[in-house]
Amino acid sequence: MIITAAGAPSIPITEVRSSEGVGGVGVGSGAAPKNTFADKLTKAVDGVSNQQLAADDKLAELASGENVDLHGTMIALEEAEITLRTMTSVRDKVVGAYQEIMNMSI
Amino acid sequence: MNLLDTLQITASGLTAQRLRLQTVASNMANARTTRTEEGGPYKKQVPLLEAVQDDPFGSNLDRAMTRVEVMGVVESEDPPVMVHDPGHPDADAEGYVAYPNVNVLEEMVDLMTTARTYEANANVLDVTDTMANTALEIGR
Repeated sequence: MIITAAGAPSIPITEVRSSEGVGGVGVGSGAAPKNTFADKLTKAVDGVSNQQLAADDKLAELASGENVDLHGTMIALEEAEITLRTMTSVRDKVVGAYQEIMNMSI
Repeated sequence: MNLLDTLQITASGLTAQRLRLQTVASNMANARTTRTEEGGPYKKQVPLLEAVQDDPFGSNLDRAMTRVEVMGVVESEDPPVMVHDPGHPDADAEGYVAYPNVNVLEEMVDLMTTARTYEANANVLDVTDTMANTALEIGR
């Protein structure tokens, strides 16, 4: 909104962004694109973290006697576990792909 | 619709069954209670369960999925059981005592179905977990 001088060449920037999108991993060269792989990864990790915090809250409630819903606590823990395991799987795949490229003989 | 929504639906089922268990416990405990605050014998408590759409604004498939919700607990309209017992302090002029409209045998059957339904829901949970893990094993 405020960036009038810097935001003037907006068309070339969006063009750069779209070409970055084709390349997959955006480097973020100052235009700060919103949909890079890193952003998505951060969002996903935040989601997993929130699940863990929710499970933690439920556990604390149960321990302090506020919440007597045993299964609710167990399900929150289960959700946290599944999301964490999903994140770990994705991490394994990404690291695997990275290593595959790094080990490429030139 | 994702796997975690399935967990929420199952959770609602478990909550509903736990509430049913509570009403059975209340009915069993008060099976011979002749005095209440409102006067008269205890009345059997019946839970009201309602199917609630999980995501009313979602796609067709999402709207087909329903959670179960406890809308409240109502008193049974069955008449009280009249027993002739003139020596009882709560006996009426003709010597009849009004006992609660709770049938302990029916409550036992309710207790069994509650336990089994809870188990069934817990099994759904187990299967959901297994499916998630199987999906994560793809390509390993």
